[in-house]
Formats: sequence, C-alpha cells, structure tokens
Amino acid sequence: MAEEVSSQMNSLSISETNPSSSATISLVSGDDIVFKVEPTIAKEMETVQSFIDETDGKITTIPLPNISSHDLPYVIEYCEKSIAGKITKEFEAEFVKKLNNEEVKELFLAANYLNIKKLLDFLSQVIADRIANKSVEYVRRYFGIENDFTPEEEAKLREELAWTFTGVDPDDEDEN
Amino acid sequence: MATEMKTESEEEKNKIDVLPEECIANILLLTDPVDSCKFSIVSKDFCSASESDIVWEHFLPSDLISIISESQSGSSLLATSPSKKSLYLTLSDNPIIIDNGKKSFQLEKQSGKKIYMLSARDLSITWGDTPTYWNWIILPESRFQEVARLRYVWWFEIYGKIYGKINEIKDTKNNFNVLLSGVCIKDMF
Repeated sequence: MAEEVSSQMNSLSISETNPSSSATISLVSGDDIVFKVEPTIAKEMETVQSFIDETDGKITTIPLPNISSHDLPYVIEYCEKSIAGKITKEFEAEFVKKLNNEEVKELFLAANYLNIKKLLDFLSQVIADRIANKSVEYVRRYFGIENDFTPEEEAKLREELAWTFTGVDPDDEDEN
Repeated sequence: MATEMKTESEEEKNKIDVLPEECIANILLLTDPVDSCKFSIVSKDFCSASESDIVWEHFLPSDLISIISESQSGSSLLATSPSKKSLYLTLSDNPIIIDNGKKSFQLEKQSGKKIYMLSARDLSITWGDTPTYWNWIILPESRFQEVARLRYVWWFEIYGKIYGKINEIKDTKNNFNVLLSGVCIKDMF
C-alpha cells in the first residue's frame, strides 16, 4: 500500500518537472529528420520560440530547412547544457574539438538563424581564434567567400593596409 | 502551416550561406586591430564590417573621453571623427597633447594600448632651472613646446611620475607604456 502511494507521488513529481509530453516541440531539419525537444530547449532558440508565441503555442512542429540533421544535434546539445547551467570551459573545449572548420561555420550560421546568443558568442570566439593572424586568402577559404573586389580595388587596399601584413602566419598550404 | 514556413524560408535559404555583416563584425572585434583592418580585403562584406563602430569601440580605451576631451585637439578630434575606426587610426598616428601641454597620448596601432609621453616640463630635473646646467629650447621636431637641453652637469638626476588606476596597471590587455621625452643631451659635448 505504502509503495503504491510513493509510486503515485513519483509519477506526480515527474509530471511536474516535465509539464506534459504533448508540449514537446518537434524540430524538423532541412533533410526532414524530426528532433523532439523540451519546450525549455525551444526557449533557448529565440527564432523558434517567437514562432511558437506567434501561434499561441498551437504549432509545435517547426521546420528548420536551413539546418541539417548533422548540425541540429550539436545545437540541441549546447542548449541542453546551457539550461542545465553546465557550460564550462572544459565542455566548450570538448564541444569544439569535435568540429572541423566547415562544421563550425555551419553551426555559427545555424546559431545566427536560430538566434541563440550564447552559442553565437561562443562560436564567434572560436572562429576569431581560428582566423587570428591568418592571411586574407586563408579567411576567404575558411568562409568559402568569393573575392568580390576588382584587382585594382584589391591592390589599392593592400597598399593602404601594408602595415597589417607583417608577421602573418603561414597558410600551411602551397600557394604564392 | 508547414508549407507557409517553407516559402518564407526558401528566401532565407539563399541568404543563410552569407554571413551577415553584424556577425562578421562580432567576429572581428574578437580578433585585434591588425586583423580587423587586414581582413577588410577579404570581401566587400568584410570591408564594411571592418568599418563598423562596434568593432572599433571595442579597441578604443573605455576611458578615452576622460583622457582626451579636456585637451583642445582631443575634443575637436572627438567631435570631427567620422567613425570610431578613423578615431582609432588618427590616435595611433598622431599623438594628442594633453594635460596642458605636459603629456602626449596616443594608441599603439597594433594593439590599441595606451602610450603616454611625458614632456620635459612634466619631469623633475635636478638643477633644471639653473641655466648654467640646463636651458630650455624649442626644437621643431619635438611635439612639445619646450625641450630641456643639458649644457653642463656634475651629476644628473631626472624623475618622472605618472598616475594610473591600479586595475589598469594590472590588466595586461589594457596596459600602457610611458615614454619620457624632451630631454636633449645629444649635443652636450
């Protein structure tokens, strides 16, 4: 008898911390994979939360066509840690160790699109560290950016900015 | 509802690969003044991000106004600079005379660190007011009005003093350099 009561208490307390499973938010990645997350996670993603708010919480399936199923779990993992107050230097170091340059850029764009300030600030720092003291060509390749200056414009800028070109780290790629 | 989101997001999709200028600026301000200038060559978006005030606000000393606004050239520079970047570059290329002509202030271009220079009039020079030993001359190449010229001396003693906030001195990022200037001994003999 006593056991029954305690198990009832348990289920009660669970339903309290975990409001109701129907409130789970489904995030649909660009390649149509559904990720179910708690509403608290959605709150971290301002873009998602404002969409939920706009529809008075009636819509709980949110398509995120810009974000792939490869990137979304990273975003969710970061948000979960953030809610739990477990964003530590160690966690961030481990988190970023798993990511190559392309993934960092993808996640950065995702964080910007979803408007997750903490993740955006963190990835800004990661990118800044990775491009610090590098060459202009390195940064173009890093971001996959086309040079949209004419050769004349670029030559003029290079002349004006000659003082910034001393002691640039080598690109570790064979290039002139 | 999902289809509605899709049409809206198709436009987004074209945009998402492009880094918004504000994001670029937020990355640049985490590098340093040299990189922020250099990377303006990356592309036109980078170029306009590297002009943005949020980047250069970050590199300028937070107490800049209190340092230079009392000097005439400092306050006119603050009033006329078209952007924070231009303010930064001007302050690193052209020292501002502050403290009634007694000191100069500039920024180290590479790092944004403060550089103060003390003029000879701001130093304690033993026998400095005795013309037999020292006289005060005008040197066109000096930024200060007067320069102390050593004529003859038996012993030599100069003190310079500058005050800084204790947290500023401890903070290596915000460190400042002090230079003594305006003491001319090269043509003593």
